[in-house]
Amino acid sequence: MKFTQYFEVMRLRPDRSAIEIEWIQRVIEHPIKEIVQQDGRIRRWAAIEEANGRYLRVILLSDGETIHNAFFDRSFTL
Amino acid sequence: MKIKYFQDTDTLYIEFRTVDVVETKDYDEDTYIDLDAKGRVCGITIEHAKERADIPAFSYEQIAA
Repeated sequence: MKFTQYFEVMRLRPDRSAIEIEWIQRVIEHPIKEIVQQDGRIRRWAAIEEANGRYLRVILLSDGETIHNAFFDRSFTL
Repeated sequence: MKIKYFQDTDTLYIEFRTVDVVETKDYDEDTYIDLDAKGRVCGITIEHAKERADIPAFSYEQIAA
């Protein structure tokens, strides 16, 4: 699993440290929605039961495997 | 306030205050805003910073009262 420097720093923040890597992996493998950004980066979402069903957004670089960002997305809509 | 620039992804992170972030919202595809428990902005992430924020040029100026 590859991470960007931004992800490595941000994951230390309290709101991000609660996000399990396993949850991120789950979103990557079983998203309920995917959007490819204009810059080629990929957004994927899935609900995380262990986090009260909140939707986790994961952003991958355009290589489709490097994790750049992950946060709970309160404004998510299908 | 802290400013971090990540060269590998050309990402700029500006932390206004060191407080617990409770929500991250996107303003547009390349701009993320972190909010605290009271909904106040406490951080901003700017992607593709070189073209959008004139990185690495940076200056700070305090204007006297």
